[in-house]
Amino acid sequence: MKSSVDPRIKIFIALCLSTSGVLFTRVDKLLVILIIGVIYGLCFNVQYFSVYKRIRRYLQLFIVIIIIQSIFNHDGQAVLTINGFALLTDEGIIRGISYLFRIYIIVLSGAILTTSNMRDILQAFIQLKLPYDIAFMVAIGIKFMPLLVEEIQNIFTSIQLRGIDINMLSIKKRIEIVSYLFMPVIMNTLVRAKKLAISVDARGFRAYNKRTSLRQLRIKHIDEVVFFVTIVVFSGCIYF
Amino acid sequence: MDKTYPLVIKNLYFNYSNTKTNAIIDSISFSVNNGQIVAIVGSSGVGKTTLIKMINGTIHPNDNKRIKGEIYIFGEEIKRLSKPQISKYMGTVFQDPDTQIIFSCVEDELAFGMENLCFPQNDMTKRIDDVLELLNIESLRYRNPNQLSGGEKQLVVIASILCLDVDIIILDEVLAQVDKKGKAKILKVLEKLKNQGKTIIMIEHDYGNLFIADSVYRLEEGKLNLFNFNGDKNETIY
Repeated sequence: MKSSVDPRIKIFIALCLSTSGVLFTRVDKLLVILIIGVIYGLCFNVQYFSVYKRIRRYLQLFIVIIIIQSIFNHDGQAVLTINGFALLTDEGIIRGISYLFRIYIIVLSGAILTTSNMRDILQAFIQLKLPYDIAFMVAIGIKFMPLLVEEIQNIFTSIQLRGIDINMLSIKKRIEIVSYLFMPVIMNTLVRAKKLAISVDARGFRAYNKRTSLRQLRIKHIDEVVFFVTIVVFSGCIYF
Repeated sequence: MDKTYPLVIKNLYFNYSNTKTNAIIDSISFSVNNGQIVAIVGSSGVGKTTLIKMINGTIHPNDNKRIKGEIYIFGEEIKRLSKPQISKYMGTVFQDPDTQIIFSCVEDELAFGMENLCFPQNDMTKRIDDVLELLNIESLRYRNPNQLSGGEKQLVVIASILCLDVDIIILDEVLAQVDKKGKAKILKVLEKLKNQGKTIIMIEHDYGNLFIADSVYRLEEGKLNLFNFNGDKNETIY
């Protein structure tokens, strides 16, 4: 189903998922949405392992969020009490888990979009009547984000190759090192953006108010089925 | 102004700073005819890319008051042309293909410029077929350009410009990152384009690639002089 579903339908599904993730507050509903998202992901062949690899460094942060939510929420029964102070409550834990589900739902929404190639997503935005300039900027942003990450990693590596072990430094020193990173990263990004802009200009970007397209997305029978199923599923989630 | 000349430059002057000394481009005049390959050589930092940027409108006289002189493209003064209008006559390929490739499919990359210039869908498909055949890279059509070799990437970027069917092609050290086999392939294509009547301006470092040029100019201290090239073909200018 990965290649056969229209990217506009994927955008619609991603919108439904992420909106539900933000609007619903009950943990059971969020769990249902998450399960629905996982099923969609399986249908669209989302590479869960690569998604996991991307977010694994933030897993600790998620756990901290759960604990913070629990600490600042004193509703419900105390689960862990220290000197009479309810450090963890069942309500707090549920709220923390809800946040965790929300984050996963939003990550899943993004992962579903990545199962279409950038040109298809761009074409979907164009056919959804989003101004081409904005659609192009979004698509370029999606393309260049990994390059930016790579650039930061390269600069980190170059610092380490000069004999500085960042893991051995104090937090103050680490912050100092990170501040040194900003200038080359920003400069490289600007230079890259400028070169890209020159290249895009050289190929007639915005030469006319309109533009033609080599490919045209057409809604197929399977797209209509997926669209209908999505409406039924999310209407059901809202109703119940 | 004679419209038969693709490019005419008269007394072109440019200085990055406001001081009158050390102009990077100082009273340059030359013209290029149809089906001619002109090479510009010179050491690093001498202003070759600046000259190219002035010719292709990246440094536009309407945006930059430090430009003096006149540039005519098919008899039309560049001041009267916007950057997108210039792109209808002229395509530029730069040294680093990675900063010019946008899409994750070669076909989309080739179509991008034609889509901007409102080519009809059927024409686009035909032009892509023709250009891929001309460059002998049909097998790359559905490949991801980011996974290609440096030479193949450069061919894709050249193809994306050729698809626009422009009359003037500017190549800014495009052979610098390409291996021997890739260079031979690109030079062969340039010869084919020349025979088709395309005007090519190439910036080069490597004397070995200059045999293809009809005339070679050397840019030095802001001045562009006709360079009587008889030197060692293996020499490289730095």
